[in-house]
Amino acid sequence: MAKSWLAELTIRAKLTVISILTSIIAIVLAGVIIVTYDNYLYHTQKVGELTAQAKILAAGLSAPLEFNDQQAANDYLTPLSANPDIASGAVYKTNGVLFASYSRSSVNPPPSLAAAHGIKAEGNKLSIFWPVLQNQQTVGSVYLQASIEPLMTRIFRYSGIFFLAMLASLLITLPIAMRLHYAIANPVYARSLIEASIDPLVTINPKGEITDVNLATVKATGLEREALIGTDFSSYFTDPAKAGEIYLQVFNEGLITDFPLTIRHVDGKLIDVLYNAAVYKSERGNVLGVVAVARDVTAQKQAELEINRRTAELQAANKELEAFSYSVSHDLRAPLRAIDGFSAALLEDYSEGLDDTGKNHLNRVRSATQRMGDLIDDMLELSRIARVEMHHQTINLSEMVTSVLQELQKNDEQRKIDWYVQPDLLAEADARLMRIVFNNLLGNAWKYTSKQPNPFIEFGAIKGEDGITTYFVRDNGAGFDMTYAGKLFGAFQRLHTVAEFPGTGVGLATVQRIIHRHGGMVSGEGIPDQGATFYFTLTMPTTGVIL
Amino acid sequence: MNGKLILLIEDNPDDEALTLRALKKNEIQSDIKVARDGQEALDYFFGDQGLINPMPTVVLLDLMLPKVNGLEILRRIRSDKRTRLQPVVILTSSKEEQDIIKGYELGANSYIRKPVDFIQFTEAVRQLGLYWLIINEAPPALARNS
Repeated sequence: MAKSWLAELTIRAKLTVISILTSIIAIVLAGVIIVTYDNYLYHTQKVGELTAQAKILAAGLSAPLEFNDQQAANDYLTPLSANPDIASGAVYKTNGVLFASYSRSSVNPPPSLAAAHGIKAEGNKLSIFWPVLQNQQTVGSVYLQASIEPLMTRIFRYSGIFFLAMLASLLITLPIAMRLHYAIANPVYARSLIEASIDPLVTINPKGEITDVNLATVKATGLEREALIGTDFSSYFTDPAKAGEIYLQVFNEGLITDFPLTIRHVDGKLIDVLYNAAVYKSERGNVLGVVAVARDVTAQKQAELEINRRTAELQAANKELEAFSYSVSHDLRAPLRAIDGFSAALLEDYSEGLDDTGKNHLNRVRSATQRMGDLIDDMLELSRIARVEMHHQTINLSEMVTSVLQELQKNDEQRKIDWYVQPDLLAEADARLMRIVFNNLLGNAWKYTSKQPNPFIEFGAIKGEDGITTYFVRDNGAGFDMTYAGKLFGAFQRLHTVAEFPGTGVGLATVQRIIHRHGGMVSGEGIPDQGATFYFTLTMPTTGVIL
Repeated sequence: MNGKLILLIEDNPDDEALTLRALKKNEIQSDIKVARDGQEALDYFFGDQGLINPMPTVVLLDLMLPKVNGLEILRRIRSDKRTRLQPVVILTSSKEEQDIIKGYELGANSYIRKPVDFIQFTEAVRQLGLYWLIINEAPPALARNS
């Protein structure tokens, strides 16, 4: 019960209760200790006082006793009345018979017979019998009785003092404690939390007025903190009505995330933000207001716009390139076909009118047009490869290589070529494009080993220390001079004449483009008349597409 | 003539001449009608004379044409009840994938790319004529012309 009662209190009330309880316990404990110690001191002091008084009395009374002068004894006893604590006093002879006495009131007469020497406490009375000495001889006894203040009276008095002290201390400390509690429970750390945020952060009361802002908000709006506090939150946005929706939604749902708004800076600059807001409540569950944090997404939005712009540009460029290719494939080929066709018609219909040189010229015209046709086709293929969409899948490169080699063999049955394909080399790549890579690399190997008596082609892979697999296609054919290695992968670059080996010089450029699109690298190694090796990797690009 | 008719839709006079030459050299026995742009081709089927004009045994269709392009002509032929079964062979310079796919999607019966080499071109036309005029059985609606 007590626990739930305490739990229902606000943090500030809890802190107050704790500090009041602590001070009460401290004062009560201190009181008990002080009262106990004071009681002991009081007793010791009273005993000391009474003993001293008895000794003085005893010293003075030895003569009257000796001379049996009762009048003198009374003269010694009478001044006891000056001490209000002394209730009665008496002097006894050695036989214990009362010799003379003094009594403040008749209520408390001294005892008629002397008792044993010593101090005795009885109720509120402290009594002492003390010997009267004359030359070391006991000649009688003195008796003194003092009233002592009752313990309870003193406790009551102390309690009163402690109560007043407590009241005074509470009066002084409570306001201080309250201030400190306020400081702790409220803004000191909360404010530093607000300030620590690099995002514009505001607190808004249920009326929609700003109650606090951080420096980031000051920067975002261009207005001082003092100027912002107390003003309408929604007035700092390009669309105040939409900003007003924030509280509606937050008050209804308790939370809002990534609500897009645009802050208007005093100098007119606009800042695109995403608002995240939540209500904050008192410990009793009453909604006190809303904490709203804005994430500046201007840069993000600009980057997005930039990406969109570039994508659009790229798409436009691609479209243009496509249109260009399309037109090339139609419009450049048609005249070639006419040149070839009519040259052929001339050769067929007018061969009688042409001598061998004339026929030879026409044949050259024809083969040149055909070569141009091939160049156009290869050029189109190269540009198509840069644009074609890629579909990655796991492919068995070894099977693909074997199939390409078998196809080459089928189209060139009279040649006898040995080949070795390392089995089961798998890779993540685009199957159609990889087929083109092997058509080119193996086609080259096939072509450039045509003058080699014992042609050999090999496909394999090397696993590098970095975990990247390098594939290679090796042949023992014509090879090339490494001086010209830089020209290997350039489009329409050839290291051999068409008469030596046919070709347009687009094959390796195509290979390089495909490998680059796979995020890989390609390189070639050659020794003239001993062979060539082409290496490539297929590292998958992690983001984006490398063209 | 044997009632066979080829409609050649071709705007390039060189290609027209070469195609006609290839047909002639291959001794393909057929009337040949030439439409020199897209509109002329459409008029052949759907113009004033459309109902009178005999249905061709085969249409040789170029794609890049003035006024109305080849794919649009194909779409119109396929969407008309009277001509929807008309055999159409696309005979073009393009080997762009998009053209080939579009052509077949619209219901082309065949897609042939014109080779630059005239010898190969002649051979393609020879096979084309042989197949569509002699080997292939025409749709019933067209049989009335023969």
